[in-house]
Amino acid sequence: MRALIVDDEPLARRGVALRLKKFKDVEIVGECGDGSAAVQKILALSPDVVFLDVQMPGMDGFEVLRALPRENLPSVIFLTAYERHALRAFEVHALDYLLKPVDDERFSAAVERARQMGDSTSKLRMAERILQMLHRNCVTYPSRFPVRSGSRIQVVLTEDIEWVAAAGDYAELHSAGHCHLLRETMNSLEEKLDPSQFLRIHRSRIVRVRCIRELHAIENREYRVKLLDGSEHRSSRTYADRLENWLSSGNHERSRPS
Amino acid sequence: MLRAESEARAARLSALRYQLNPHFLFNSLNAASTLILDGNAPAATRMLAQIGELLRATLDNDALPETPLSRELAFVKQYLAIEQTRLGERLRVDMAISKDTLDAIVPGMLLQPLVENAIRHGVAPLIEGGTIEIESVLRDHRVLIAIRNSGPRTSNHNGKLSKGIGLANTAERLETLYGDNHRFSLSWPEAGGCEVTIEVPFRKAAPELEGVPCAH
Repeated sequence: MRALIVDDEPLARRGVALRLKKFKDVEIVGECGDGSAAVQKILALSPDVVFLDVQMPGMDGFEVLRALPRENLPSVIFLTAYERHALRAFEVHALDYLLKPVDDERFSAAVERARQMGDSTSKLRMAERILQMLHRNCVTYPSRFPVRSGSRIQVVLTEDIEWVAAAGDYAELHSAGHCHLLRETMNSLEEKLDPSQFLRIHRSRIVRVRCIRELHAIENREYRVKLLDGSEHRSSRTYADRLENWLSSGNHERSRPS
Repeated sequence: MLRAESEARAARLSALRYQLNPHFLFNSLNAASTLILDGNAPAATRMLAQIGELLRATLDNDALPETPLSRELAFVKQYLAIEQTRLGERLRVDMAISKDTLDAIVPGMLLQPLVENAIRHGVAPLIEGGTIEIESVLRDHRVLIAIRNSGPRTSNHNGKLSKGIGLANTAERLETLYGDNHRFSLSWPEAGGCEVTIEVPFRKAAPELEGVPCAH
């Protein structure tokens, strides 16, 4: 098994290297002290496993992974001193991590698990879990939108938005029977709304999935979408895939690759 | 009335007391663990003693609100020794301490959070590392202390730094202890990096506070 060690602290790298000594079948193919060097080395050396520090100067560990093409994602054992959010993410996505100071037994167990990742299927599954973690934990969506009308700025909370309609250069944010005009295109607004909660069904419509009550098939994979507030919207064929995926997933919370 | 005020002040100061950065603590312990694996017992034990010193100082609730600068500097040196073990040659330190400032009374735990801030923003995030400069001089019966870090000229120019807990706490502590009779400023010199300067009235430490044993 070929290993790469990535940590900005020389002693932390040395700690990993020393602990790897007892694993005769593990070869250390490289060490790097920052994120961009790590990206280069992973691409150049295709290591089987990467010991990856989360916090580093320049690019951090997550940014390193995000910079890699999916097919180049290695098996990763994260190293972390004190990143509580990251720990939750690792647990949720069943990714291996080591806390500093490193415990020898946990270290050995992590190497053992990485060793079992040899075949291509488990490698692919690991890459999938990494991608899911990056997607869910690193994208943050605004929790509110300031809507200006004259000298007044009204705050619309994202959690209150039920549906959005295009209106020229503006977008209508509909919440609790009110309509707020926001100067924003549908495309840029769509990017600011969590895809696990909002669904684009038409060039001019985004709806909150929790508010969808009924779908009436019309024709050509087009639907009439009825929301909780009684409003009705027509979905278009362009967005039929998303609507049908959502329908079949049956899980409003799961985030879909957008 | 006066007593209530001073009690409130003490409570305020203790709430502002510095807390050890957990990230620093765990990384330092990890470095000590490597030194042990490496069979370098002297370096490992020295590092553990230094970490212990830092922990003790931050846990010590009886710490005086004010202390001689010499003691503050000894503490900062301990801290810097740990950081240098961790960061290796990426961290360079330059101290220019005027002898007549050593006895000056300054707020306890004043310098370390500022130096830590400078490392966190000016050295640790840079791949090539950087230099920390600590300078103190006596001028017109006032003590001037400057802490500088090297770095690109544009770094942290957006005022983000001023929100850092370290600096906000320091500002509040100085305000509580000295009122208007102090200066605390943050600037970005032409040459790059960042500079924090503190100016407080000069008061000499009482003799029994002098000659604090130093670990070195």
